[in-house]
Formats: sequence, structure tokens, C-alpha cells
Amino acid sequence: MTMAIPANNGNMRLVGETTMNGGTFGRITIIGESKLNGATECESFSCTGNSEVDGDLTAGKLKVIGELEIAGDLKARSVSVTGETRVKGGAQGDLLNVRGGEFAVGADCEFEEIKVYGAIRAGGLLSADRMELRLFGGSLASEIGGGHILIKMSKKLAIKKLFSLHDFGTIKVGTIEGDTIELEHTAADVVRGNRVTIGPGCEIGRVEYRGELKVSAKAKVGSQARVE
Amino acid sequence: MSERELISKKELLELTGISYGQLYRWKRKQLIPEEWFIRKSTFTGQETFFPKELILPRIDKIVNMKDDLSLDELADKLSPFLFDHPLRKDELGKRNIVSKVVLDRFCGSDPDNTVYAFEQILAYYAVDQMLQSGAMSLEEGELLLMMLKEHGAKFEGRACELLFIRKMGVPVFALAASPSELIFENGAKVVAKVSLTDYMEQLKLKLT
Repeated sequence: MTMAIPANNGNMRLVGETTMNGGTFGRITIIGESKLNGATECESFSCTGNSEVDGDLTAGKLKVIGELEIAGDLKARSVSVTGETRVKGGAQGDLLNVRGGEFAVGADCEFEEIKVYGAIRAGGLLSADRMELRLFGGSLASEIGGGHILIKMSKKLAIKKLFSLHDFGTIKVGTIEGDTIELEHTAADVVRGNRVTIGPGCEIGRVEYRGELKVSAKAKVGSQARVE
Repeated sequence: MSERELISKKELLELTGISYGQLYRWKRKQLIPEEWFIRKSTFTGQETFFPKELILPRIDKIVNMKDDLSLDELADKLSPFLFDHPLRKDELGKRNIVSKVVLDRFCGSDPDNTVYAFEQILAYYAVDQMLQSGAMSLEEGELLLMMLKEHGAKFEGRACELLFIRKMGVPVFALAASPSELIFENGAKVVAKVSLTDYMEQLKLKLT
């Protein structure tokens, strides 16, 4: 994606408990607990611990281990987070990699590629060309759209499931639309796609497909229709 | 905007042969404006609709241009003024953006639901403003419109001035990158010198 981040800016390093004003920086490194007041732009943002941006955050690279809260929108080329991330506005970029924990976006979450191990919540549209979600549960999106969409239960949850009787859903979605869709343990009102695979544990209201449809015996599908 | 003809996403994909993936990718790249996605509830759940007269030409343009340009380049191409606000002909008249005289005279043959791009609207708007200033006659308006249609795009994104010169009653129109200094011979009279950029700003305010 195209982003204009002015080059040759100073780096900032925050250690301990600090509050700073936002602005334009080269590299921002945070260790500990920090709050940035106002919109912040930087080439890279790396945080170990807790941080809060009271405004929009634009970063070339965003890496967080711990907690991050953004009061505005997030724009970043590549995002890699472990822990809890909350974005009040929307999130946009090229690559989103949630290595663990929860990634919550108030509005739309749009990346070229999304990989999630953990949970994702999007108030609006969750959209990516390639999307691979391996979920623990508690995920939510009003819409999912893209090229290749894969939703599965994470391995850890699969082991937990062995010891429990009921089936858990991992994500609740209004509409899922994509070219190739593979779902497991997903609850959705409508699924529309070219090639659709509905795996075990799914509860789908209606499936509309163009090419082929596979439905697992352990899935519930309200109605299905082939669209020419 | 009332009574726009809508097309559902399903019909759109079928008609144009594009895939969900492409549609969502173009939306992410802002090749298709967010406002064109109209969500409505239907008996099969929520569906997305598009204004038919806007989306079909747009998709056509993207499909034809995507082989030569990257999507990011394309995004710049599609909204040359960083602002794209196509409007229907009847709306132009109703909202008093372009006077009826101009519409009847210069695009009387286009049906009411013709959609004009921002550049076209700008051309009509400029003609309308010049006419209302009293400096220009209706026939001369035709010349101006022809020039704007032919050469207006050359100043894409740059500040530009419109010059109206008359010598011995013969009208001449010129577009000049501004700021520029032009000196004419004695017999030539500069009837009007207006900034197209100003017109652009005024028009943007009126459209939104």
C-alpha cells in the first residue's frame, strides 16, 4: 500500500512509564508502559509492554508484544502482534500477522494478507486477499470478504475440545464472501463463494455457490443454492 | 440522490465476470469508493448493491487498465483530481450547479440519466460561470467547451488558468499553467482571466 512517511526523522526510545506527545519519528521503541498523545507517524513502531496511542497511528512496521490501544485508525505496511491489540477506528495495510492473543478493530480491517492465531474481532468488514484464521473462539466480524478464506480452529482449542462434550464455535459472522472458502467451526448467516467447503462444527444459514460445494456431515446448513 | 438503478453484487459479478476476490481487492485499494457499497436487507440475508450507472463503467475501466498499470497507479488515474464525484445530468440542473441554458444548449441530446465525470461537470460549470459574467456569448461558449474537453485533462492536478482574449472581435481561449506571465500585443484585449483551480474548489463544495 502507498503511505507517505517523511524520512530522516529522529528515533524515540521510551523506557519505563512515560507519556509523550505524538508526531513524526523514525523508529519508536517502547519498553514498559507508554502513552502517546495525538497522531503518530513513524517508520517502525516496536513495543514490549503496554502502549496507548491517543489518535491515529501510521507505521511502516508495527511490532507489539503485550498490549496496544489505538484511539484512531491504524495504517501499517506490516503488523505483527502477540497479545492484545485494540483499534477503535479501522485498520489498513499489507500484512497482518496475529501470532497470539486478540486483535480487535472497531470499523473495517483491510489487509492484503491476514494470518491469525488467536482471536480477531472486526466491527465492520474483515477483508484480505488471502486470509488464514486459526481461532481460539470469541471471534466476531460483521462481514468477511476476499479471495481465499480459510477459517479453522487452532490446534490448542482442538485439544481442549477433546475433553469437552459440546462443540464450540470459533467465530460469528454475518456474511462471508470469497472465491475459495474453507470453514470449520464457524457460524455465519450467509456464505457466498465459488468453491465452498463447509467443515465440521459449522452453522450456516444459507450457502450460495457457483462452482462446487462440500458439506461435512457434522455441519448444519439451513439452505443451499447453486447460482449460475 | 433518488431513484438510482441498483445492481446487486451477485448480478454484478455475473455480468462483468469478475470474482469476489477482485472486487474486495479493488475496494481495499479504493478503486471503488466506499459510498457505492449500499447494504440492504433481503429475504436471503443482507446483500450489497451498487449504483448501476456508476459501477459498470468503473469496473470496465479497471478491467481494461489493470494489465498496463499497477493497482496503486490505477487508483491515482481513476480520480485525477483526488476527487471524483460523478453526477447525473438531471441532478446538475436540479441542484443549480449548471444552469438550464447551458445544459439545453450543450448537452440537450444526452438523456437525463447520463452520468458525467467530474472533469465534464467542471467544463460545463466553467462555461456557465463565464456566460453568467456576461463576458462571453453562447456561441463562444461552444468553443470554450470544446477546448476544455480536448485539453482540460492536460492540467490534471496542476494549478491552471483560463484566459479569454479578444482581438478585433475574434475570440481566443487559452489554458495556462499558473503562475505564468503573459504579455499580449496592444490590440488584444484580455476579456477574462479566471483560475480553473478556483472553479474546481467551488464545484467541489457544491457537489458535496
